[in-house]
Amino acid sequence: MKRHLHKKMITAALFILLLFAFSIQNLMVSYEPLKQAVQSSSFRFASLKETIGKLDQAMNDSVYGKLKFIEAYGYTQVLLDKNEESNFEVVKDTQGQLHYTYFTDKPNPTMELTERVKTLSSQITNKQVKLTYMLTPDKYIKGYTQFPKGIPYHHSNETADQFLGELKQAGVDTLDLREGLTESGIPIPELFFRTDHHWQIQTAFWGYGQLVKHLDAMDGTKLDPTGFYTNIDNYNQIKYDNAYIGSMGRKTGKYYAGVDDFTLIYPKFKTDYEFYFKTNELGGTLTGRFEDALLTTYPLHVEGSDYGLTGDKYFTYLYGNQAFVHIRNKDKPNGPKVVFIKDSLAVPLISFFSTICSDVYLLDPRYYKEDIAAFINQTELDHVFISFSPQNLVTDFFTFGTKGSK
Amino acid sequence: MLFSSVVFLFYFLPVVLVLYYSLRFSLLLKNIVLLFASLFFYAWGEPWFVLLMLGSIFFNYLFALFVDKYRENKRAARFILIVMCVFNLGLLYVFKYLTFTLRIINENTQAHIAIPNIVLPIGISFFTFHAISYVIDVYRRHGKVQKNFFYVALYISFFPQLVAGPIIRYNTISEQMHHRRETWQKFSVGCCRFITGLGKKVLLSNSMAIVADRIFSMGAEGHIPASLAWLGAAAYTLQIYFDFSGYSCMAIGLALMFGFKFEENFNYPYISKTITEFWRRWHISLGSWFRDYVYFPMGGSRVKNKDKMIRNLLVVWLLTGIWHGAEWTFVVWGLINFACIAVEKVFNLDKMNRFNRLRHVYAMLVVLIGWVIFRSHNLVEAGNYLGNMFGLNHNGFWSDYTYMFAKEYGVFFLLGIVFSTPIAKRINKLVVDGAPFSKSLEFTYPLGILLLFLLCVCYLVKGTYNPFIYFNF
Repeated sequence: MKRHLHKKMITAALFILLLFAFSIQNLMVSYEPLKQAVQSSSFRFASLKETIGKLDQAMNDSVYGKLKFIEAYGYTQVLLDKNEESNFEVVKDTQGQLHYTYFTDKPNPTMELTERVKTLSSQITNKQVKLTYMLTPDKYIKGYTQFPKGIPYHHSNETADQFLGELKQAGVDTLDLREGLTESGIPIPELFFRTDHHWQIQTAFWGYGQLVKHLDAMDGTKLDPTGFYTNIDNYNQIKYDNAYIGSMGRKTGKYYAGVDDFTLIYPKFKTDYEFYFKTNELGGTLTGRFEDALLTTYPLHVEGSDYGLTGDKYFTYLYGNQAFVHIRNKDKPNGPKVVFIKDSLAVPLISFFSTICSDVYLLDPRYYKEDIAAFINQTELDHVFISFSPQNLVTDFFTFGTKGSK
Repeated sequence: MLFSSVVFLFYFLPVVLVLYYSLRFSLLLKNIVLLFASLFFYAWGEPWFVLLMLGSIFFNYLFALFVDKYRENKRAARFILIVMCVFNLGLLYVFKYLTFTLRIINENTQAHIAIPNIVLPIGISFFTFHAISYVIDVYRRHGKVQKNFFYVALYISFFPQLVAGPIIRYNTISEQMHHRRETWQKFSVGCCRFITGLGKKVLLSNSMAIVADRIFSMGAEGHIPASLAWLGAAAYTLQIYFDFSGYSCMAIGLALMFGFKFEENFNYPYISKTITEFWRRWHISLGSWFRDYVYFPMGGSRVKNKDKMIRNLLVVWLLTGIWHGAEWTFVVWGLINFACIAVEKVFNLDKMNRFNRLRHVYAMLVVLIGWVIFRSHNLVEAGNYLGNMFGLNHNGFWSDYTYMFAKEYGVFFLLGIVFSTPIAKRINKLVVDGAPFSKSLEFTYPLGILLLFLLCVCYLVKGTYNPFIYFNF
């Protein structure tokens, strides 16, 4: 009995040591966030709950060694041979790629989205302006991606099929970038980042080529008559090995699904741009070559923040998702003038597409709160593109084309 | 505040431990620390309700004083007891059952009464029952009246048992509030108990909650195959056990760390062979509360005929069901327990020594079906889910989801089943008795427990699914 208690005493001593050491470290790490939470809070009784919420959040967000704990958590999921982690927050396919998913047994309804696209199309006063829906591919590639038995599939591809079918019936031009994806020449496992829902930059470049082909076929003109701008040989490619942890990898930790390589692609040829961006009160203008104006190299250089959003290398292009962007290509004053109403997948594709355009506008409906139809009608444009990936076929992205929509 | 949270583990607990043990020289100061810590603990979840709880404590403090003062005048004392019951149960009714009542009225009449949005104060059922038991115990001379409000407040609000029990009796704790001794031995056992409880809650209960909640929500939306329905029911059966017994374990452990000794609240209920036995092993403090304050005063089992005993049982189980929540599902769940216990009493099934395996299967089947009803949002949902379990909805048997949940959470199911049995207790006993492997366990035990703690921290920091069933009761 004495020995039995002895081992509990040793355990308690070690536990207390660990608890206090960790708590002190924790306090040191969370001191600033807690201070900020206190300073931004009101200590009146009526708002105490809100204040407590802020403090609680600060404590949870700034745990000492948080990333190590997340990695350890991810590692235990590997040891348990789990294909889903943290209540299906992220699932792993049979190739080890991470996916977002949810439980459903049928595609989502898309009639409302179709109606909104149709309404926007009818709101465009200049009938010379064309409208195309460009569907970027989903990471779940039909005929290739397989989920382990029973892991829920979100039916996003079926939702997208249904949506494109409705758009075609309504006479809206569509470009489905899922078509030909597996014949793109890029090895299928490298089409998307393993730890992120985005396509790799080389896949986005392929998508740019497909868009140019589509527009050529549509207008009967040649946007890139010599094929110079769509030839990847005319672009520099810098590969960063084991350098990128995507949004899903940041949730699971690197031991669950590994780390991705990241390839930066930018023109070898001379370019001259003016890039203007604005989100809320934050905005600015950058000028110069493609790599000076359209790329931020900060995420590529930042060290020690693999898991931080600031280190997200996908956002190297066009500074990520801005509410409003205007790219002016000074070398192509006679090129087409286009607007993209888009999500994040289209961003690198648009960067490359800008090499053959005169003016490119980007509106992200999650952050752009003005009237989109009014913007289109007030701007000199040749083409309007709407581009949301299959998983984003939800009303939150289709903020236009509704009564009183903006 | 939840025990299984970063704020509790790395802020609240260390600070309270430091304050408490730095004032070791004065019992009064230590009790003051515990009271203020308890109020802070409660306020972290809902600051406004601290006032409600303090109000409840204050009035019950007065009721106990009056009951003690007018004890000799039976009518006056009884009147005070009635007022006390009306006050406490009225408070509970307003916060927990008023909206349910209005809903029933609206559904069954032409009345269109606006249903107010009433937030349930955390742990109201627990602190109300603590308060009632205190006044009644004073009346029955099971404990001395407390003239100092501070000690009544400490008894009712003591943070280890405040939001989810166990329901500690005043006479269990009153002596300890005035005379207790913290020892390293007690503290050590408390630490180990706390970590074990944390493991039960964070690793087992929360993992089972993912499976149960997913399957029950699928079941609520439509038909699910029988195998999946059974898996969901099994997951919930394990979830609720490890959720509540884990919390009780942590509460008992924390109390020991501060020198208090609480009674056990669970004793491996899933090894029971009858429902009567199940309730001797499940939420023991609630069962004994109803026994001592409802069943026995009505005559209990020692009545002239069995009809009265059945009536007494019916009242107790209706109340037990309703105590768990304001929905018909809880009433039906209480009635099922009543029916089984009544039949077992009439036919003496509880005392039988034969057909043990068969009786165990029966008991677990009733428990499982009971939990399905308990877990469902309404009786229609419960009926649909049970229909799915027994293949009455043309719902088929197999689903890939069954395989997937069983595969993804197989380890947790296995551990859950193993730790629902007294296997760990038996291993402990073997160690104490000096089994051959006990020496090696002496070294691995601290490592194992600390690893368990770190694993729990990983899950908590990651922010995994962390629901808590008994928080709502």
